[in-house]
Amino acid sequence: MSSEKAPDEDSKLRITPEAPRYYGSHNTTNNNSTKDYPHHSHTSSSSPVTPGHFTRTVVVPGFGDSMPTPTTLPPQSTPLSNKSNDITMTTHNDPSLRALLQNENLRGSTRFLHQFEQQKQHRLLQRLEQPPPMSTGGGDEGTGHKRRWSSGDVFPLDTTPLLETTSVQDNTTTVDDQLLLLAASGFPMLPAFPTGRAAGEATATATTYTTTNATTMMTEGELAFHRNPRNNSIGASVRGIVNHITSKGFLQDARSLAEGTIPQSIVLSFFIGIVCGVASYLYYTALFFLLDLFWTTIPESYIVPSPYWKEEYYWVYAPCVTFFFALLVGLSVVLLGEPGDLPFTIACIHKQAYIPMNHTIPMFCASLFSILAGGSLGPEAPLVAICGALGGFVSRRIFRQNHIHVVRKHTLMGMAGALSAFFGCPLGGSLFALEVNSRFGIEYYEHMVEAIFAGEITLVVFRSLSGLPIAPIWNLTQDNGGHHMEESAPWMVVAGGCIGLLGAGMAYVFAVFHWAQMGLFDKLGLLDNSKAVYRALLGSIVISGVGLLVPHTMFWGEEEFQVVSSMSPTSKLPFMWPTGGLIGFENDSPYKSLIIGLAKIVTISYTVASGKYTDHTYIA
Amino acid sequence: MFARPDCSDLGKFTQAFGSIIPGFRGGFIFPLMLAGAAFGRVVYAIYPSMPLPVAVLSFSAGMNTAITRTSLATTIILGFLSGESQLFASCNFHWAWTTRLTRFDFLHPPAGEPCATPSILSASLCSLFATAYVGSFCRFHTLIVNN
Repeated sequence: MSSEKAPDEDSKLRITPEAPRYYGSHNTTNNNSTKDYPHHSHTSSSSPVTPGHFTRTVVVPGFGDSMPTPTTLPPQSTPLSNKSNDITMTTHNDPSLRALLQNENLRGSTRFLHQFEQQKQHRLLQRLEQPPPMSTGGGDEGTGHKRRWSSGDVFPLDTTPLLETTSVQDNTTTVDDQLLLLAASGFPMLPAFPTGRAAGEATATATTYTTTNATTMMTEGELAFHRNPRNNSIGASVRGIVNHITSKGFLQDARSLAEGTIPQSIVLSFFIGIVCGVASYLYYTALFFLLDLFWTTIPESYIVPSPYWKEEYYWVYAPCVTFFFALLVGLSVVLLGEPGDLPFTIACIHKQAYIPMNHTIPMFCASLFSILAGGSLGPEAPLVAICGALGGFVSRRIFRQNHIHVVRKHTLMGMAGALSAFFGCPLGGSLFALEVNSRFGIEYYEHMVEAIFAGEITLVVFRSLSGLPIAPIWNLTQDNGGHHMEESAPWMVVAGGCIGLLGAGMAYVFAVFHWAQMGLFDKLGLLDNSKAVYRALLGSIVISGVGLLVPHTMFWGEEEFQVVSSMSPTSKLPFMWPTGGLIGFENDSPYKSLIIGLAKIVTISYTVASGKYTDHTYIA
Repeated sequence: MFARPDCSDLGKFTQAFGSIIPGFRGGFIFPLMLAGAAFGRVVYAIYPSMPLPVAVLSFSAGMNTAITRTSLATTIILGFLSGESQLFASCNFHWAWTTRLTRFDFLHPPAGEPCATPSILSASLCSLFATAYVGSFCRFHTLIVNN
């Protein structure tokens, strides 16, 4: 990737007029790509430069030969093609740069990428409109000015920094970040950085970052570009295309349902809320019907009265059901396709803003069978994936939305609705859907209010259909002698923080144990696909074996939480049959509680490890 | 939608079936909370002066936040589901309604007891900050492409 060109070329762009591909895809007649937004009208429709005027190749020294230079710039509003399933993300043709763009460390920065592209393109076009300065050399005789650019002209670089990035890790602006983001934005422009480093080296270094979030900041010039001319505010206009400030008035927006406006969000919230509420209800109904059937009805109606199945062999039932449903999970994946999971969902949200619908049915079946097998995985991640896919489907297919930010908002609405309905807690559930996308804090905060609103509607629909109350499901103090917390004290907050650190420590133990166990699987060759049957067998044996010894560890723990936290008798466990397991384990001392916690960690780890799949590590 | 397996080639089918056979799917929010509840019982046994909701819910929040990276949502969800949160109902509010409208009685107070939410939030934030740079947790949260 290192440049082998002459060093003087590092400071100029060469413009050749006979390359028609530069704005090749820009001059389309797609109306959706030239929509007029309040704060961006000067970049799109009212731009003095019509796209397509300049069909030139900009050769950038420094990117080397591996980058195909005549880059086709994306259309301004990043259209989603309604015909194909893909949203065109602005990736460079160079595979390494595309990989960089898809690097999850750059998530925070890719959000503003399109705006940067528009601005850079606009700025370059403006400068190309101007007559070439004298310093370009070779002016017209007599006047000393040239009227047009011609081949071989030295195009002075715009030295104004377009963007600067600050990574959480080092908290400094680096050349690597600048180069990386500029390169990833698809525009072949190399600003006046301290030279001597080829872009390839810089980007290669940047991939090794392990930041928790890469946040992008804009310079003052950038912010001025995004500033709302009405009230001079930055925040609302940085939201970009997802504008909350309607410039045409409520009635006009309500009539047109223009993308990103508040009336559209309200209508979509109701639509997505109803769709996701019904979907959640179907999932909930199927799940609890099958749970009752396989873990309550069949044992109590057919096994207990049976004269052939003696009571001392009741425990055999649990491993049989576990392995049977483990087989069904595999069968459903074979027949229906790959279901995906929460990391896959998150990757979809970041990269293409929607979740493919062909993962919905496989996810429904695979997660249902996983839960019925008694594995330590719950229905929340599948519901998030299913409802997120439905939200994106409603947005893209029914309401014909094609902007990436708008589709992402509607996908997040669906995800928030799923968790709100599942937890019965709209604020917490919606925040969960928004927080889980990033490793630290809320990333798509501009969609927060609409997502919470959609979560409320989904909650109403789901709880009305299912008849469930919106109420707490645990009562931690009922078996504690009625010692309710009358008040909280400051020392309790400090103690809570310390306990949280303990929890983080135990989570670290879990993580270390899990990856060590995966390494052990790897060493034994169990991660090879040819050994997958043995891996599934091992997972089923461990899950059901631990479940028989410590019955509290079976299932996803929503109902078991009450039993464990209040040290209730094991017979109160909701699903497990036989309830007492093999040895009649009772949680009657702190040591038993410790055993339950450790056993649960082992069970989660083995359940997750059994989900190890061919080319991805599936953990949800 | 239904890709018919090639049953004529039994070996191939077995191989394909065996390759995908273990595919447990699901979320581990509640499992982690349950493990945290069990450990919280241990903490409560060691320090009995600490209220049980603080011990159990804070431990659950700490474990869950470390893996799923959701500090605020975990706090609100745990506070709501356990009925220990002051966000959604409070004794004062209940008392005012009781005296004015005699809608409830004092003998059956609502679930909204004085809260453990500040403690849970503290636990969540401490856990989030403490595990922000630990790579083991990032691997749980992101898609890892093995090729």
